[in-house]
Amino acid sequence: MTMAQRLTKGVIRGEQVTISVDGRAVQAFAGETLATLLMIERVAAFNQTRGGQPRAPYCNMGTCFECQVKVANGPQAAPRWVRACMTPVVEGLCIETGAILGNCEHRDEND
Amino acid sequence: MADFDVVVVGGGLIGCASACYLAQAGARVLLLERGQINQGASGQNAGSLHFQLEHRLIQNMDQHARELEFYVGLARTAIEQWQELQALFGPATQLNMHGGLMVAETAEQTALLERKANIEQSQGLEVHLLDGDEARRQAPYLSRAIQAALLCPSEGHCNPRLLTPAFTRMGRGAGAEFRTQAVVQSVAREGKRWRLGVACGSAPDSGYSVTCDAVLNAAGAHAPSIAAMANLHLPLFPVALTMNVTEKVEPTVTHLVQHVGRKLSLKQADDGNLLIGGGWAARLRQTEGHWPDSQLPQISPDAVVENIRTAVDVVPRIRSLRLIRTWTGTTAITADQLPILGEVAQAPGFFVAAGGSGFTYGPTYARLISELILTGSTSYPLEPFSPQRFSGLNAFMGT
Repeated sequence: MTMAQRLTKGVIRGEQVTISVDGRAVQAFAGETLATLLMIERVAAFNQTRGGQPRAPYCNMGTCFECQVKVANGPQAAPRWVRACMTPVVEGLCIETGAILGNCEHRDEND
Repeated sequence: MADFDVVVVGGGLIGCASACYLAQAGARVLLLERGQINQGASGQNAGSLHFQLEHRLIQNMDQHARELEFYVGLARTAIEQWQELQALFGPATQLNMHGGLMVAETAEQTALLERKANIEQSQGLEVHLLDGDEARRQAPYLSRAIQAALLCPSEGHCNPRLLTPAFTRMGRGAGAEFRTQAVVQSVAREGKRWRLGVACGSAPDSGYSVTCDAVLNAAGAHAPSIAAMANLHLPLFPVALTMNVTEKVEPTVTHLVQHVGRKLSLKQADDGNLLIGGGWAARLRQTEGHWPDSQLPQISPDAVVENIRTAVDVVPRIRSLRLIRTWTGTTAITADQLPILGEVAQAPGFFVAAGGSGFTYGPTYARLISELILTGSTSYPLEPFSPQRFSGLNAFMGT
């Protein structure tokens, strides 16, 4: 996977927030997409197929559904599947990468 | 000697499977496909293996009682063949035969299922009528609104993008030649042989011709144009249909699901996506009263909404899923909904295999038409499907 980096010049970032990626506390900027964050964190499998194949962003515009990832609004909240490329970072999100699709609600902010 | 024993026109499922079976029997076979293998309806359809009488056939059950008997008999032949294909291709084509359910939501529909089950059982097709609770026990994903279901244990599905290429590989191995970007431009009788003029799609000036003893027209919705080149009418009409696919979810729908009174086909692919169709119309593009076949049909948004609504009524889990893609394809139907399989009497050596549930029955049509071409007879009677039922149309045509 290509090493992803945030642009540093000429970009206005949201406030810095902390979210959880597979139980690890990660610094991120409010408003950037989960896809951006997870690529910077070098996550190779956003989800995986039932055959064990890793999946990651392909179109980065909400069409292909390859970047779906399991998130909850906090450690106690019910998880749901979202498209990482269409979902902005907010404080306190808990992300589980590499999960097998299904078995909880499928919905994101743009639905 | 002619260049080939048989030239097959059309690289869809029927054409490629026929080329394969003909070559396996020792014939010298050339297949001509104007675009790419599996580019048309064979690769765009729902991939259902539906052996129960369908919604569209049941609507005219009384008019076509005799033909339907043959159709159910053909289903038994097809089931045996799919079981062989499962052993032959297996997981490589994502073929599974876990059973199919045709559901009913009303008392009237349940009565229709009962009538249908009687016809099917009397013809030796294994089906079991389940009440709503038993249906939900076997298929917990079904809605409380389902009052009855007819289970056919042999039904299932197969990935249409994989099946035709599998036949093509097997056909090549058996010595058949497959040419893509090969546009047939003329089909002419020459003594007891046929000569086909062919243009190369990528270099239209580099035309050539081939001779053969038999032509098999397996060009699907384009089959009437190929027949016209031989000065024949072929009463097949293009039909534009719609398919939908949802995002991937956990294993939910284990059967092929159809509806006896509403247009629905529903199944879950190996990857977890739900495929939703059932004969909902798209719109053929039209120019000056013709259907130009170069453009894909246009999606009808209302049809998509109704298709999904039907699916949600039957499987409520679908309500919370997102649709990721809708596509269209063009298939071909006849006035009596049955396929056209056989030799055209006015043009000896000109065979047709097109129309009529071409995915479920495609491999069977291919095997039977191959038998007819090579031996003059078939292991299952093709008379009800013969082009001779439209022979009046060709009374003044032919060579």
